[in-house]
Amino acid sequence: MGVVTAETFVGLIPELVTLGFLVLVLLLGVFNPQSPNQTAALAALGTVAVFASTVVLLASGFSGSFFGDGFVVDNFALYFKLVVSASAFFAVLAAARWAAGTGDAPEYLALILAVVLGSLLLVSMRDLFGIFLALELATIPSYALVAFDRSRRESSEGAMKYLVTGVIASAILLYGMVLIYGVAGSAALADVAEVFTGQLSPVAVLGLVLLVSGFAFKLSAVPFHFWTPDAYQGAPTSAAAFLSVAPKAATFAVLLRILLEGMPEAAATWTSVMVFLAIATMFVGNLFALRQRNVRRMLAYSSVAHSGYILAAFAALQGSAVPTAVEAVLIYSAAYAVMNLGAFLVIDLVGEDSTSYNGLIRNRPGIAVCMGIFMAALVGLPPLSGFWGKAWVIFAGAEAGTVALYVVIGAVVVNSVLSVPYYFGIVRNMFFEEPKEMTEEPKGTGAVTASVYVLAAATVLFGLFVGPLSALARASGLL
Amino acid sequence: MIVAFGFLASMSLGCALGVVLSRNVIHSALFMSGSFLGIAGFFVMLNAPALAAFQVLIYVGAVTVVILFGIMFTQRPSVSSFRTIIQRQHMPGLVVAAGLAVFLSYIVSVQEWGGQTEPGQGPQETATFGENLLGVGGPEIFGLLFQVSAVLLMVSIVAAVVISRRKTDEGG
Repeated sequence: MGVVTAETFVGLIPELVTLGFLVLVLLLGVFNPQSPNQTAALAALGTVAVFASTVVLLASGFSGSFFGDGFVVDNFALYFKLVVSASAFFAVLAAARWAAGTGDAPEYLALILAVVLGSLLLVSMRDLFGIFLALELATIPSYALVAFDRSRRESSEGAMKYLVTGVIASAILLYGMVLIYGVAGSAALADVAEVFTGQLSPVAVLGLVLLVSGFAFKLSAVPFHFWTPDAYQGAPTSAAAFLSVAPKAATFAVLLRILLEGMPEAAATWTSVMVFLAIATMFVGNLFALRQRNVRRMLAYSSVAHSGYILAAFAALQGSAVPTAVEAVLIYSAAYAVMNLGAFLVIDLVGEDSTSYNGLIRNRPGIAVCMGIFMAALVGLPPLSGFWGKAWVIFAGAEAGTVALYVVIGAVVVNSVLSVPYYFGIVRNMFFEEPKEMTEEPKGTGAVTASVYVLAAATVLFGLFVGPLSALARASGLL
Repeated sequence: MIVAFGFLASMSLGCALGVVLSRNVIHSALFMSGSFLGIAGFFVMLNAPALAAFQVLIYVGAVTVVILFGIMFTQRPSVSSFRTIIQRQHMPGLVVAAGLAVFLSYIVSVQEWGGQTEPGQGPQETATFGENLLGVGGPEIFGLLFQVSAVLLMVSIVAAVVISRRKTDEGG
């Protein structure tokens, strides 16, 4: 018999705060429709409040599991809640200016907060049905976010493709979950772990494969990545920036939880799937990114490639390498959030056509240097954030030490080199091409410009945080 | 029993096909209620009348009406523009779907399901069912999930309104 105590509410504070601000933002839109800036400020305040409450929970060492072990608050979950709420803050800042122009700012911001709420719940769930519901809460609003820009045809096209593939992915994921539920007789991860031992039954293997396929769709892993470029190109820039970072990090987190808590004994089966997914995803993402002229589309393929790098850490989740591999996923998620958000915000300021970056160093030197930093970080140059993520993935692979893992490490290195031309194509345009024309600095971009500088600083100084981050990862409770 | 099963299955599947293939959104919505009705029949066969009642009341009744209202309020009932995204690969699609169906049926049929739970042994009274949904008696996480579903529905409505609403100056 479950009892909901005061402690339960303490554990749910980040989610409750998000929900409260979501409702407030909607209501403010109803009662005060003429002030989109106030609405945006309220939404930004909400993400700050979520971040602060998560920090307090983390600092006070709060942990516990509630609702019959179905909802858990541990350092692992809190870490990802920090990543989600911090990226939401920057996305809201970037969204404010654009959304005010559409006249639908409250709805846009409320949808972003809904994705935040889904992602926060997702990383804490320890029950397959809860995971599915939270994942849908993070996904359904994102269809509307992609479709939000009614002035461009690409927006509806991208949203339509995203919706159709996303719904199919949800169906596949749910089918896999139901099969696992049928085999285990329970949807709780602890009960699932008891069934996934020894020789797996065919249905268990099928359930596992369908589950991983469903997640691969959501993570835009090859061969389930087709929706990504269209959706990111069609979406408003702030939405693309946010969707490529926050829900994705949360999805990686929950996949990690399912695999490590729900089926640790079956690691041999799922790591071999991960090896294939990781290698295919890295190569396809980078090779297609090479051909793009549109910077937003290029970053979409680049996000596919980066999913591959993180999946490489999943492939290393075996034997003694598990702690390092978990650290790699945590560090890579944070590192990717910082540099990718920054790059998307620069697109918001400058434009998505690669020629609009020509000679940027002369027009807006600050932004050009920041973009250079983000591109170098996405390649993985030391000492920028991306380097630390890749370094940890390689450490984890080396520690696992199997032949397959050495192949994966080789693929990570080869792909980092493959990715140099397209990232540095932007840098070349910015530094060595003649400017097309003198462009005026758009009005009202102060918040976004400031965010770009903050994110660039975080990308450069990421190395300083790696120590504390890995300590946090060690104490994450999953190891 | 088998006759009833065959009837319900063909009704559900046939109506589901009608939903996808119909060129008219209103027809699609009506076909969908037929499909829901077939599922309700399955619940009766599985000795779960409470679920069947919910299915009829909520899905066949409420959801279909809400969808019809949504269609009438937002757009003219035509889907001709969506036709273009469905590529004309009927035969390969059919072959893949049939192969997948055979494969999945085979895997599911060879499994030893343990037989610890017979169909229809779930909650049968509405009261028990409601308590389980609130996390009493059943898995406790349902208590949280019940609330999350409510939020999900609210957000879905906001999302649907955002997508379908036309501005006055867009000539809707």
